[in-house]
Amino acid sequence: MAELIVNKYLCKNPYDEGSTHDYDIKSKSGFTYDFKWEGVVLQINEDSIVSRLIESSTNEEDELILPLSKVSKDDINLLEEGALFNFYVGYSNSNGTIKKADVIKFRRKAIIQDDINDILDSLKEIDFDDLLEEY
Amino acid sequence: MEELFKNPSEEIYEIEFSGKFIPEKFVPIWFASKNLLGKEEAENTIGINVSEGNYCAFKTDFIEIYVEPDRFRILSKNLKSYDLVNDMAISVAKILKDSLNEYVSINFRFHFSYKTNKELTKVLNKLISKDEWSEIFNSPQLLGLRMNELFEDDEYKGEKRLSIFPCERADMQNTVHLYIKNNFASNSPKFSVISILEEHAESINSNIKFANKILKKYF
Repeated sequence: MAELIVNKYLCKNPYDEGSTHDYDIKSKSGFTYDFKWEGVVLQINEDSIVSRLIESSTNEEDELILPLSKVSKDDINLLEEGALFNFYVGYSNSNGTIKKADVIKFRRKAIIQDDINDILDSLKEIDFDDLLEEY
Repeated sequence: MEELFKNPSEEIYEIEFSGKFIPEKFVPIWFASKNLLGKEEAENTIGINVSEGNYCAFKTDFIEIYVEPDRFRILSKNLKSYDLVNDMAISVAKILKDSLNEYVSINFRFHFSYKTNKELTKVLNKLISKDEWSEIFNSPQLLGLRMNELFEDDEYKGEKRLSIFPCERADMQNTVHLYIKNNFASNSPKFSVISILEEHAESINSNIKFANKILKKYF
């Protein structure tokens, strides 16, 4: 069971002496990981995704086919060619029962109106007539 | 990603905003509504605690969020998730840009534990030359060190602050903190929290190199 610990097990913060609150959340459950690969989706098949992965510590590159079923319901809408994701290998702890586990997590970024305007501005700057003539 | 020369007992990568926030607004479902957390991820957050006007705090498997009326912190206790902290911080800064002060801080908090207090004391005493104090104290013992370096850019005034001091937490024995705080404050109307975060998205590597210089020399 998670608990919010207020002013207990907390580090005094030497550069925020004026701060009156600090918090820490302790939990007996959850996923912990020691290994991470940064991935990009290259191709989406009916029941798998082809991806290129880079190990975060060694920078070793590899191509890997992952089953589509590994992508969580939360992230399925983020799945597209070129999408960035992280692949973690570690342990899940469910109330003291520890099991090996791996997790795929897609990167999320807010897109706000300013970003859309920037994209539209960039598109306006492209001379499509010239491009069409060229091809 | 660079690796720390010595394994810490706890590591934190944190981005901290200052501004005016309504803590109770920032529950997990708010983040899900902005597509910054998945729906299930938001439902399964741990330790969601809300105190109206006071704080809101929760964690997922990857990041933790702490909001107070004047402070908004996004952190991970695994440096490998620095990219997720960056993504969340940049997204939050875009959505809340009118609530933010022209200030942002990128922090690294490391804990290093030793078997005995004697070993810890030895590390602290290596940080300064005790000889210079021997005329004043009979047996001086260093309790901590803070040091900073200022830097400047067209857009911001920066400060890199190093703090090394013993940890007093009950769950950590014979432990020393090594905190590195990188503050960025506005120096011009061009200042943008978002562009600072985007520019420094990979600053984890230079900060780990910085920490490693200290670890190799003193720890």
